[in-house]
Amino acid sequence: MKKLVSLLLALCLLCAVMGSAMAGTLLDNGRYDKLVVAIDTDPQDLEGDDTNLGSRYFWIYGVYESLFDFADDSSGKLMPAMAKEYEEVDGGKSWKVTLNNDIYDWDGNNITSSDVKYCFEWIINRGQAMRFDFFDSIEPIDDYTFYIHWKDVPPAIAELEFPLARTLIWSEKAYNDHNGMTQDACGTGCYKITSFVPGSKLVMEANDEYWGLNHPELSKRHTATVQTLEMDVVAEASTAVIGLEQGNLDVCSYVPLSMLDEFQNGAQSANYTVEIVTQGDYYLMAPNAQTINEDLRKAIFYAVDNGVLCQAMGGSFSPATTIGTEAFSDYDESLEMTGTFITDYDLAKAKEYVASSGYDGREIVLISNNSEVTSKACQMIQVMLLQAGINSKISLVTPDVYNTITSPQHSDEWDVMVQQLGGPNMVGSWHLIFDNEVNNGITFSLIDDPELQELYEAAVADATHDAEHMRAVLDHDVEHAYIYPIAKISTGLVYTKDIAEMFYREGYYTPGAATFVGQ
Amino acid sequence: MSRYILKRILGMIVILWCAGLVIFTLTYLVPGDPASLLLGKEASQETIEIKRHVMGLDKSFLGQLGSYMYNTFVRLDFGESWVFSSSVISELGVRLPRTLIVGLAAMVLNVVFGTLLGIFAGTHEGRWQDSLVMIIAMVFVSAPDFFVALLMILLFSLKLNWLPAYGIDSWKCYVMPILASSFGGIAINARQARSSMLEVIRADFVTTARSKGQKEGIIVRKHMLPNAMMPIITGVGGGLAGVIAGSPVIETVFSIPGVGAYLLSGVNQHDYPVVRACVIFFALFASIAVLIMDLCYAFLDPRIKAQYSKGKKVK
Amino acid sequence: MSDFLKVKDLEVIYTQAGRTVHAVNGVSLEVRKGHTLGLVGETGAGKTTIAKAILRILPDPPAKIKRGEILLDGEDLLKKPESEMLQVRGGKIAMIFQDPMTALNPLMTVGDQILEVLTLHNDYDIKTGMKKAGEMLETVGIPAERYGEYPHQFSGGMKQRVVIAMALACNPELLLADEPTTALDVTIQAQVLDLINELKEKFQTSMILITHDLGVIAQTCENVAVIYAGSIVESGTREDIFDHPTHPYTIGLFESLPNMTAEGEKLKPIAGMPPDPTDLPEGCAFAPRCPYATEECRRRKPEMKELSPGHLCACFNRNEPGTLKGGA
Repeated sequence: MKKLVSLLLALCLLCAVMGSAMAGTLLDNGRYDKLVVAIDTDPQDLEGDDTNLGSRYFWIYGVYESLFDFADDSSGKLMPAMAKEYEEVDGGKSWKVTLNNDIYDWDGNNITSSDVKYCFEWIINRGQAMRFDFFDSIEPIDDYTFYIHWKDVPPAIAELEFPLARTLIWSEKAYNDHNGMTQDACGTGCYKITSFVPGSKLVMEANDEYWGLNHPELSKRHTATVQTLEMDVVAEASTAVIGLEQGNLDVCSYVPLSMLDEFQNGAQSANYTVEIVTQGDYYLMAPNAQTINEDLRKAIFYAVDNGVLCQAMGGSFSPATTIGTEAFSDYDESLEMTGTFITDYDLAKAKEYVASSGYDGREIVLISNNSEVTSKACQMIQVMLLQAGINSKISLVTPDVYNTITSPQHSDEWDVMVQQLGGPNMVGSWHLIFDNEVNNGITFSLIDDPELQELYEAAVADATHDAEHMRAVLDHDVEHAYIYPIAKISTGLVYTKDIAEMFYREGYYTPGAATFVGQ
Repeated sequence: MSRYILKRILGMIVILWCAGLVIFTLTYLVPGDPASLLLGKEASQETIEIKRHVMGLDKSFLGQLGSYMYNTFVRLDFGESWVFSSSVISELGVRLPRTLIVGLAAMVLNVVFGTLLGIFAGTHEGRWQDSLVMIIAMVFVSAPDFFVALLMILLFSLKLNWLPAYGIDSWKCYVMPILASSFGGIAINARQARSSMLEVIRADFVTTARSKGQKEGIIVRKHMLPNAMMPIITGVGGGLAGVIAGSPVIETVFSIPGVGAYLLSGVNQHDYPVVRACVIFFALFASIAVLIMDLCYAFLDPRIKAQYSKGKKVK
Repeated sequence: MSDFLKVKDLEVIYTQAGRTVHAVNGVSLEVRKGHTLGLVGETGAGKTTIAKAILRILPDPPAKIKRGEILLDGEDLLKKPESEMLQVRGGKIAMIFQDPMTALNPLMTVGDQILEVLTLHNDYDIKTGMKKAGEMLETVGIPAERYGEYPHQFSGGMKQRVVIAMALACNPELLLADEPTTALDVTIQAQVLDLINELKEKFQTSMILITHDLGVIAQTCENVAVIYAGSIVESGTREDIFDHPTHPYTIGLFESLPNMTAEGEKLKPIAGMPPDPTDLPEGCAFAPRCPYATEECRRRKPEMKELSPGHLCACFNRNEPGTLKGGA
């Protein structure tokens, strides 16, 4: 009897020790039982439309799916998702796409070509079709094959990001059955939404009938490694930090850098891993190529010290060292632009360039959105320019006014733009700043440079999308001082140590597909 | 009396109508095109045009105003949020109870504690009890509610682990928001109640009551309090309206998805249907609050009741 | 006839913000059973304070009864515990206030306000109490049907009648009437005074009538005391004061009355102003304004001297009742 009792006690102790090693447990089916993630904006509705992203990217790709995905290896290549394969026909002007025939949504509806056509038309008719420049139409052939007709031969996969990988496909019947799916989703994904309190909480459960369970070729993002994934809306970062400390939250991606210490080095470092996430967004200065000549541009760039600027802008900003950040999939170390005005601050050189530019002392107009960050940046820039003898004035406007003024028609109303930029990858982000298609022959900062256009197109084209060609673009930029990258944005991603390895979908952390300890 | 109420309700409809007119015009005048704002710099002109048509922005000002007023007041259709596609009115319906729970409970605390404290201070004027209450009131009124809220979270959630820091899962989630919202109101009510009491304490009819040999406690209850209530009720009326409108801060700190948070997100994202609907709801609540306040006056003070009913005055 | 009420050497001060107001400085007076004492003096002389001190309803933080005795039928009211004073107020002693417009609780019906005093001093149940209150209303000339009406529905004169009804509801033995007609117009004044007299006769109530109006004194009071700057300067019967005013202040009062028959004379007010009650002069309070003041007057306070039986005067320079005939 005594032996039995002591054995039981030992067993209990063992279980307790094992149990306390992990905050959660692994279930029999291999999934982690429950993960609670903090999100800072409200999902508000459950539609299959990812244009107004906010924090919806978080759950939407686990619930709805698109025809293709971008490869997990960050090569920028396509990999099959709902579409099994495609074939270029008509010289590349159309694609013949084959859909997987075993895709069923949560209601049991089978997804067919007519659903694909419906979803594309839906998003166009709502006026939410972004970057659909090349898309022309969908022509179904039979239930599981259809043509995508492009307006012209697409030069690169990157241009087709939105139609191919961002347009979510769901069943037309489900859309009607569920009243437009705003409160009541019905998707095809590896997670099912089981409860939704708008503004407060979204709960997803792993989908045991997921069609993709039979398809090992799919991206890992389509795997549900958690049984119950709960997303709590916590608007204030400090409240989220308290949630982490209390153990009510397991993951938070918006912990300010100033609050990270206890998770990195302090009391909570035993329970949490910290990753400084640099986003795929960065801030830059773009002088008006028509009103500011090359020497003056160089003067401006040498007069500005982006290290000091970042300190003024806030704790999450670090100086950019290239036109892009290491978060991009096509980033390479060889693209670091050390030794140029991007990393070097040189007031003497700046003054030389001011003299040689023939600057007449007029006030340069610095224009930006009226966000706190850019307004601080502009103020610092103004001070630094003054040191070099350049007078400036700051114009802060609302976003839509900014969009209007920074067009060629108003080219005499601004001189230097200060703004934020992002993209699917580095060359994707360059579309706005280097592609002269944006303004019908000149770039968004009014650069008219055929050589730049050639180099840019080479870097974008799939065949030559590599570090060498990208470096060529960057070198050209430095030579002519077109764009000055200011800062990268970083926040602290804090997650429970039960996650052995976090999964990133195209640079975005995706805990629902993370690998947990023991998996 | 019922004629009076009817008149007031008709008046409310006019007020709401005017509020709708004003808020529509104001949001219309805000510079910028909501469609391009939503879609961003990268959207093609075509897409923006389609979006503008979907949003109804391609009509003239009067056309838009007309359809807005018709939809809102005749069909009671407040439209859909531009940023998300949820129906504004159903979203408001879901969020309202949460704001009301916090707001009404805070109001009850305000009135009860504020008035009690104020009476306590007033009846002990000049002595330490009075000073103590006034100091407490000053602290409450000066500390911003979000600051108090954060302190409470630190104490009750983090240190003591008694209450959750955010969300609306259980009744426990509402305790701190209600307390944090009520402090400022308690302070204001206490000061108001105190000064009302002081005025009433010096009143002649109180001396009359004393001269009749009435006990002090009963004098406070039967003579002073009813007469001191009038300004307090005025404060409550204003406070009730303010409760709904002042919710954004508390709702942000505690992540409560209520009407205040909804309005805030609407403003930040230029989501005008949300902003307009929220403003009309605030106007509605303010009107109802004032009406209830006026009816309370009538209930308490026969002179005002007479005014409302235009009763015959016997000389 | 013994004195029903005897006030001895009453001294009351108000302290506010560090300054002390000497409101009542050593006042002594007597009221006989069934008689009326008129207390006459200017505003601020301390008359109301004396009345409130008798009832002990002075507001306690600023006011304090420093010294004195108030003997009601031999018992010192100042020594009674508060619980017994509650019985006295409204029961044995009642007060009528100066301003009828504010003396009633606007939110209570007039009937209920009379009911309140009735139930405090009698063991009536509500029904009986209400009936009695209604009867009280009738006594003062208001129809009992108006029990449920509110004060704002009555005129000034009617309100004052309600106040009188409240005061007399429990048959008090002493009535303190503080300027009961000052706030009313002259015609109503007469009505109210008649009413007070009538009830006084009926219930044999003693009364202290406070007023600054000599005409009212003449109509209602058997005895008069003249008060200046918190002290009694002259007291005696009505005839003593009206026919033989002695104290320079009393004389000044009578002389300042407008003379209806004389032609084209200027009014003769008393020169100067009443003293600052926080800073009373050392000697006689009236000395600065008195045409007969001497060095001694400025140095020492005069005591009350009996000039003739019952006629007292506090003045160094007056030893005989005056000969000036007062009254218009």
